[in-house]
Amino acid sequence: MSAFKLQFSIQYFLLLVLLISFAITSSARGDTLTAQEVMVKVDDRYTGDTAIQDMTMILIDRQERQRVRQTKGFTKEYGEDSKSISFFLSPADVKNTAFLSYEWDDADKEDDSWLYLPALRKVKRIASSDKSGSFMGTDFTYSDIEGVDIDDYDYKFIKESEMVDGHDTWVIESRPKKKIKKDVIKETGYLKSQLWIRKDIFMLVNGKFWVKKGKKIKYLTIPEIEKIDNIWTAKKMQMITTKKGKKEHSTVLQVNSIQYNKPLDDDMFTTQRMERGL
Amino acid sequence: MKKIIWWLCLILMIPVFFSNAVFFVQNSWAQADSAGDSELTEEDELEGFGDEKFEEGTNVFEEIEVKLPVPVSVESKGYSYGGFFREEWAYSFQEQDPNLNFVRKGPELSKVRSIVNAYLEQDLSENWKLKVSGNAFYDAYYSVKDRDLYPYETLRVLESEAEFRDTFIEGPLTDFLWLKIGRQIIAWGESEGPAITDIANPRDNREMGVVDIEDARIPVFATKFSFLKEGWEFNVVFIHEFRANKIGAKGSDYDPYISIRKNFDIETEKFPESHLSNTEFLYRLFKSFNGGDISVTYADVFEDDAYLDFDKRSFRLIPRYRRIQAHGVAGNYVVGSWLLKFEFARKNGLAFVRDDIAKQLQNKEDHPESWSEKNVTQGMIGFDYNGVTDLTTTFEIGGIRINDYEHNLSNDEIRASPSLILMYDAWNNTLHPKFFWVRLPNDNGDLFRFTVDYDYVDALQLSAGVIVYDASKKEDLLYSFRNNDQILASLKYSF
Repeated sequence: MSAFKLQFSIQYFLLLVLLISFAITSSARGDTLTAQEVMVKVDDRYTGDTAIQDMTMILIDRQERQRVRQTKGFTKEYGEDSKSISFFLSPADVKNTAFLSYEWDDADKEDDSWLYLPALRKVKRIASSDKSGSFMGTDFTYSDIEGVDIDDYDYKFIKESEMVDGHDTWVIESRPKKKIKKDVIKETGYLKSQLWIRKDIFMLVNGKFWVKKGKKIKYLTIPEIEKIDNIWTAKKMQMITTKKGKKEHSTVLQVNSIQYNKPLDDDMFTTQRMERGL
Repeated sequence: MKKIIWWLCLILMIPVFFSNAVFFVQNSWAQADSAGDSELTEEDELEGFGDEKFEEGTNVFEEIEVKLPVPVSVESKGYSYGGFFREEWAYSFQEQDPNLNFVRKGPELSKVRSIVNAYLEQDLSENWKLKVSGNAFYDAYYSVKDRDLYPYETLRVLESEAEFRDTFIEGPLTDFLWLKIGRQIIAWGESEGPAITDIANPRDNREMGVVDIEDARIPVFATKFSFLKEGWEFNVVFIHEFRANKIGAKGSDYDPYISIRKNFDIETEKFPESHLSNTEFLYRLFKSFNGGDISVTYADVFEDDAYLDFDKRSFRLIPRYRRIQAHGVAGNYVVGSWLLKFEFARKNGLAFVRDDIAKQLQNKEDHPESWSEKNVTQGMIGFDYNGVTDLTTTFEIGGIRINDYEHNLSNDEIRASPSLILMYDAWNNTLHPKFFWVRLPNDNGDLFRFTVDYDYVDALQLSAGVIVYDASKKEDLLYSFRNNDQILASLKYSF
């Protein structure tokens, strides 16, 4: 089934980036704001009631061979909960594969997710509290895509100022809180991470993640940012996985198009819709 | 020899699971340690990452140059097509039992099959869609070996085939009613193995254990209505075309009747006619809820496995098919990384072979019976476990109980069958080792299969594997197939 875990909801990735990336400028600019407060504001940010997007993922191995995946995804917010569904458009052997996910805000409720594999013609429910696995063969994990609970971490400023591509950034370190450290590391796979946030738009532009398994370090870069429907959107992201200073694999995600706040029928987020396809 | 192969499988699996095992154990220890004071310091944890040694001159935050392909359009064209070519080879490395009448006698290349699969999807309107797909293969093994050695049945079933697969029209009739009509696959239930409530489609059992379930279901011409309302789904299916399970042909390595043929002639199968009064039908009520799914089913269908009916006049056995009725329930529930699942059905009207046919003939009974009609209770409980990164473990125990059991049946009253599937994804999901084991009901032999698929590029997949049948007792179901062990290889190009 792990192979089946390849599939994912692209919207969650976007949401994660948005959550981490955008803070409310006016309040966050205050000089007295702590790293923890910045993250709380990021988490509270409105990111649209719905989103429809086409995305291309390019997976690059050590020999620079590229594999390409294209998806179309839909997300809808239901108050604090959200539902999303993604369909694979290419390559040929995974075409029409679909992934449906319900994210519940209530911590007592397990998130629900299903996978439709066209070869099986069957919708299968997926269970996994371990979100540290590779997400569709990319260098992103499920925890990268689905996001994390900011209350699980302690944050601190590493540097008050560092220039990235001509923009001033804060460098924030996040580590799992001691009490729940083991569980959080097991779930996400990360011992700690470092986030570069642009001060002018409060957007994540770089990230560095220490992966427990295999002692790897991953580097996230977001080189293209655009304001779409009044929401700052990461149009391109890349993640590079390294081990002992050597590049192992990398992934580039490109958002080809995205529409926010378009009406989406609830029937879109059902297991029946997965079977029917786009 | 089997033991060598078995150990080889295990050895091949070791590197696959070793890293996860170590990680799993480390994690468990770390969790146990966290209860005490022996926790690692942050510096200890971050030791050995080698960050400082990053390749000279490389800026990890520098943008990677990639050539973006033209995005696939989903709205504009209104049609799409695709498919694959696959070459499959098998080498059977055991000598066949000389007491059985198999055509293959010794070790040899036993399959050189070329397969082509293609589909076309066409939008008929905004909501209605047409799909046409087909599959064809040709196995050059028989020409290379000598076609004259093989019975007509073997060549008909295994040398070549061309058929329509999913070929249907589908779309909404109303806001809550969906129609799908044509050749289709209706996959229900939770079991990865035995067909309990998943009985709409017959299966391809021509090469026992070689074909994965995703390739094994055979589409049938059916009309399927789906009613969707407030999270409930109700399906009504009418099957208009009778198709039986595909089984190994006479003379082939997987001929299921090979041991019976010594004593009896077996006639060609008598298929039920596909006409209106023979329409099969199934219902299902399905509901998803937070943490699980549940479905209740009813089916009035033909059993897709034939039973052997003794014809006293011709002194032959005739494979026939019976109508059965099945009430079923299936469901799953998530607990952390565990997906607990179950599936049960009560089936009425199945035919079971009697083992006293020879005795009846000796006694010169007027109406010797080769089978008895029985009702059964069939079930499965099992789990999928995804708690180890990139590894999925599926374990199931399937069972069947014959109600009103009589001792002249060749089957035991209660039969149980455990199975295990391990699937791993490595190298950013380019390498897919898979291990499968099933013990046939009541210690009737074991089947092991180990395969590795490697995605060389997106379109090209290379596969290799081995399948081993282990049966030591003559009564074992697998005994006739015990020398069918094979080394498998294939190459698949998707387009």
